[in-house]
Amino acid sequence: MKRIWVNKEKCMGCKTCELQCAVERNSASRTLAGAIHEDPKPVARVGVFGTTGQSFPIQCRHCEDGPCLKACPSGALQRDAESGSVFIDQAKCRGCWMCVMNCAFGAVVPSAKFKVAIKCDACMHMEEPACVASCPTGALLYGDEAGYQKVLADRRGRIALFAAADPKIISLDYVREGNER
Amino acid sequence: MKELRKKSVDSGVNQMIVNAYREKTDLVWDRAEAMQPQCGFGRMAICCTECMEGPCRVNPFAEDGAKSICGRDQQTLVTNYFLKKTADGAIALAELAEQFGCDLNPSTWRSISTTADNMIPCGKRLDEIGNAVAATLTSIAAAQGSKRQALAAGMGVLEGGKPNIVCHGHVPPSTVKALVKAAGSGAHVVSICGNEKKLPVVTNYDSQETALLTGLVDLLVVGSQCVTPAMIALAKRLSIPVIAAASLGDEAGFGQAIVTAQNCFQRRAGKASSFAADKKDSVVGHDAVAVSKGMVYLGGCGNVANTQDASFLKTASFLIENGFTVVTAGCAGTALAKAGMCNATSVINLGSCHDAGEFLELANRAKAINLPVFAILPELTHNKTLATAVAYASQGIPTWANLGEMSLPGDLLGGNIHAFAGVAQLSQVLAEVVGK
Repeated sequence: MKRIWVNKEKCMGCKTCELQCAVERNSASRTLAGAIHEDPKPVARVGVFGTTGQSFPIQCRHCEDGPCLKACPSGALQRDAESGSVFIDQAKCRGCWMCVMNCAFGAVVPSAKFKVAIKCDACMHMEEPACVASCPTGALLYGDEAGYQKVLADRRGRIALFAAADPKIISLDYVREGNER
Repeated sequence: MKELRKKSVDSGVNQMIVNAYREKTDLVWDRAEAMQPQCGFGRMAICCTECMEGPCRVNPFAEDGAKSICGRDQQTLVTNYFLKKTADGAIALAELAEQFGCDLNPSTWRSISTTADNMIPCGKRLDEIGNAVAATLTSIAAAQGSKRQALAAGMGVLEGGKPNIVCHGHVPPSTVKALVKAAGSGAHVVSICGNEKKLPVVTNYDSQETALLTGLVDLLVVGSQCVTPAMIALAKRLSIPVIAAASLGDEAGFGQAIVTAQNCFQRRAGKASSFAADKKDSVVGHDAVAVSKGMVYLGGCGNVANTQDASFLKTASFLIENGFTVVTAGCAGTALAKAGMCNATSVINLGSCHDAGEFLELANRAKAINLPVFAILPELTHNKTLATAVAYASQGIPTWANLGEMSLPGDLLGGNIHAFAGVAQLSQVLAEVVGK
């Protein structure tokens, strides 16, 4: 299954993904200039959280055992058989917000105006999700597990080179104290 | 932004922050928190909106060194951004100089008021701007004089039993003089940013809104620069009258302003105020300066990301302990004054940040007897403070300024401008200066 992966070291906190998601997936005009004047205001399904210098984007993780899917009493929340993405059939949504309350990531949000829940569907009918396409640093990646493993291996390789240059660094999460070794 | 346990060193400010929280009033700290996380491109100054082909931003993670549409790399973008900010601050200071009746040389104006659409930033422009700002600051200092006077500082300068008029932003000295004259004994005139040389000072830049929350402000006279839009909105919400200093005009205008303040005071007179902050005795200006080991300028505006005033107080204490004479001005000076540090002979408060030109003269005197001279600006907010740092550096004074995450090339301004990373760096700075 293809997923949206996050390399949080590369997130600059610019929120371009938020803008692009709102414009591409939730506005009538599909343009930034038009979207900002729309009522209700377009909602982004990805959010940039964390503190300055330690920001990261988060959207629906499309959990394998999704609590939102289990909680939904109306059958509005479904999993797409082909892509594996979890999406909402908004026509069936009754606005009980069970999914909102059950999501551990805060990735499902209520639309106050239309009384339906809104969430990321990984842009399953598009070539590439809007947030991934818009990210200026490549902090967001779209691909399957194998693709991600490749990126991860590449990154670990770099860490190894980095560590070889400085004996105090064991991994990016651990720096050896003092001069012991 | 770090999570701050303590928003300010000033107990009066902290008292008002608690009140604001209870009354659900958003202050600068709340807005800063809502702004998190802040964009890394802007923090590193590697974005540009200068031409209509933009906006551009370069990816700092790119393997092959990304460039903007016109071909600027990361370093060029930062230098250009710094140049623009400095030029903007230089214009701000030149405008203040005109308020003080200084006649600026047309060539000074020309060198600061335009970056000439030049796309290849060069250090020479920065030197020119630095020299122009030094000339501007010197002319303000000459117009102002440096008479020594006692002026209290802290929230406690607001009086409970009298109408309080607060001059905020850089109000021309003639206006302040006329206002104090018109007020007589019928009202009490105090200041926030920009008038520290003439009036008792309530508080400094980031805590300006808290002054209004005391409920003791009856009229806000606003000058130019440093007045935040939030301040005006809060005054409106609290029904505090606001008058632009430029609109006061003649004697009748000043008289009317005093009446406005007195009317506002009538509404709160007799009501108990829960506010009980103290004030500190403070001295502004200087007559005889005794320099022991060296002289350092401590300036800057503060930054909402850190505990207010903390870096200024720590830096000043460190320098005094090491035998240096601290010359301060502006919001850094107010921080020291509020903490009662501007009483000792080791601290000279010049007044407002536009009075920083006096340091150039003091520095020359210290240099003449071979004493080390340098400047530290631990936290900057406004461009005119940045321009002041550039002016010092252009005059050969080693200057450490907190430029955030901007990384400037080392050869700018004769290598006299350095990044200041925090109080932990102080002993290293001292070693470098004394070593020279």
